[in-house]
This record gives sequence, C-alpha cells and structure tokens, in this order.
Amino acid sequence: MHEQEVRAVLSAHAGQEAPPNLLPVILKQVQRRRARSRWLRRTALALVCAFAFLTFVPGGGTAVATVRQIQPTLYLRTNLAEAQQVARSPLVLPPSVPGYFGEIPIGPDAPAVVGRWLSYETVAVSITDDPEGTGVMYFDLRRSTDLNGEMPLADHPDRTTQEVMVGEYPGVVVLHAGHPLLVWWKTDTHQYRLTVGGADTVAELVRIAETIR
Amino acid sequence: MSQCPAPANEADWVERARRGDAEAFARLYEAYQSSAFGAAILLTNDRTLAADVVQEAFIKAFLAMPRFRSGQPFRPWFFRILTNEALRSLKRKRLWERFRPAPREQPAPVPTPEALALDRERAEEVWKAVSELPEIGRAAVVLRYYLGLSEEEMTSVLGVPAGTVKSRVARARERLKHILANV
Repeated sequence: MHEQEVRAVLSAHAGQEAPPNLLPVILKQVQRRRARSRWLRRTALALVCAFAFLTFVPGGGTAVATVRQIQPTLYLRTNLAEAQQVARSPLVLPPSVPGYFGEIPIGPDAPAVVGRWLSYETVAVSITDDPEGTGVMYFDLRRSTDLNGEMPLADHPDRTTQEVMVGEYPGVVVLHAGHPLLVWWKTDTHQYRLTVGGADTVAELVRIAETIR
Repeated sequence: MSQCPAPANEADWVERARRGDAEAFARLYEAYQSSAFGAAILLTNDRTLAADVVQEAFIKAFLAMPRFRSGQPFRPWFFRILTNEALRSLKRKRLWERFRPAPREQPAPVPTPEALALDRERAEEVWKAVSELPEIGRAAVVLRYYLGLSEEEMTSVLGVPAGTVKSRVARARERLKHILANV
C-alpha cells in the first residue's frame, strides 16, 4: 500500500466541494455566544456582589436576616422552647396581648436586658445582671419617659429614644449608647415591635422594620 | 487533493481577527473551509455531522482568537480545534445512537475525477480500511495524508509528543496494511 494511494482515496472521499456557506451562521452564532457570555459574566458578578453584600456588609440586607436569626440564639440562653416559638412567630403583637420581647443584646460585654410589654405604649425593661441593681424600668415609649419615676429615661446616661416614622406610622426607636435596640410603632389596628441585633443605625432599623412590615 | 497550504496573507488576517475583525476572520474561513470540511468528513464519515463540526470549530476558533498567541501558525491551532470537535461529535453521536434506531445509510459521496481514475474497487477497500481505524489512528492518517501536516504540526494538533505522532501514524499504516491484506 502506497502513501499516494491513501492520499488519493482520502481526497476522493473528502470530495472537493466546500461545505454550504456557513459564514453568516458562524458570525451570527459568535455574536450570540459573546452576548450570552457577557450576560452570564454580569449575572455571576451580580450574584457574587449580592452575596458578598448580604454576607459581609454590616447592616446590609443581612440585617433583616439578623433579626430573625440572632434572636433565637439570644433566647437560647434562657429558654429554648420559647426561643423556637418566638422565632416562628410573626413580628406582630395584637393590641389585647401585651408581648414579651425577651433579651436584647446591647453590646458584647453589656448586661442583658429583658423587657415586657405592659400596654400598647409601655414597656418594662430590667437589666438582669446590672451590678448597680438598677432594677425594672418602665418606659413609656410614646412619651419616652420613665413611668415609675425612679429613673427617668431621659436621665439615663446611655439610653435615649428617638421618634421616627415607619412608613406612614409614627414610632419610637430605643437606643442604648447610640445603638438601636428596638423600634416600636402602632397602626390603627395593631402594634408592632422589632428587636434587632444587627442594625447599627436608626435609619437601618427603620428600614428593616419597613421591609418586614 | 487537499494539502491546505497556509495563505500568504494569513498572518495579517490572523492579527486582525485577533482584534475582532470579522472581515479578516471571513478570509480565514474562506481559506480553510474546504480542507476543514474534507477533514471533518474523513474524521466523522458523515457529511451532515461534518458540516456541524466545521461550523462549531470556526465558531470556537473565532471566539478564542483573542487568546491566540501572536506569531504562532494558525493552521495547526485551528485543526486542533477541528479535530477535537470531530472526536467530541463522534462521542456524542455514539451516545445518541444507543437510544435511537440506527440511522439510514449515508449517501455515497459524489466521486471526483481523481476517484474515477482509481480502481474503484481498490479505492473502496482502502477507504473501508481507513474508516475501520480507531478514531485516534484515523485522525493521524487524515492529518498526515489528507491535510499534509508535518510531524511538528501534528504534534501541536494532537497535543502529543513527536514520538507518539510517529508511532500513531506507523500503527495506523500497519493496521491499514493488515486490513487490506485480509480483504
């Protein structure tokens, strides 16, 4: 068998004709694939950015998740069953049932705070392991004053309130050392409260409240 | 017979195509379409599949042009894409054929004057022997004898050392001889 023979047979079988004119299809496909590739790259980048924002930016979109995820962790310190119940329950308190909002972290080394809703506007807060034994304080969130007169809210060195609008409803944010602890607001039919461990600013807390509302 | 020499203006076309010039790529397409189609037919033994392979190989080549190293020969680079695409298509085809009834016989190619000049019967035997070669061996034979690539170019196309290229071609020739001897 000679090489020439193989060459001739191969050429005979390959034929001499060119394929149908594929150039327009090729150029169109190239354009399409480039567009698709650009779209995929942009989508992937957007997803990575969104993930990074939600995961790493303090108070980014994660704050909403923080509210729901951190709260049960905090409650776990006292009562697992209650924590699970609270974690599952919506952030709405019916007007007739004063609610319990549990522990609120006010800093890594700060004493834990336990609060209980007494009425639509009043919350009792106790600092559980306060070395000075401040005891229970009653906050009228609407008027931002202490009800029992032992320690006016305004006089507390670290605690303040700030009036805000949650959407179209007026509300109050309670801050400890400038750090927002909770936001409270009331509509015609319901009263809402939101405790938060992830928000760093009042605006952020209000934004979370609006998102949840 | 297709020995597919590199066109004189190739370096210029390649350079322009690297920068995304579709017109320059069209020139490359015109220069290589015929040999690419022939090689694809020989590799796949299926004209329809061959057209798909050629189309896909050119698309991939155009998309990969910005990554093509300037100053390198275009021909082995392109035929590497084409060969890989043909082998991939054959793999896909085999997979499909497991789930589908056997396709109808391909129509015989239109004989060229060259083919007519050959002893038809002998030519059929040789082609049958070539098509019975394993895919890797057939690729080596097509690149060497149809496209007329040098050993160095084949090394680049097949992505194997020169010694392996030589042994593949030699094994394919031995096998062809053996098949033809038993016909």
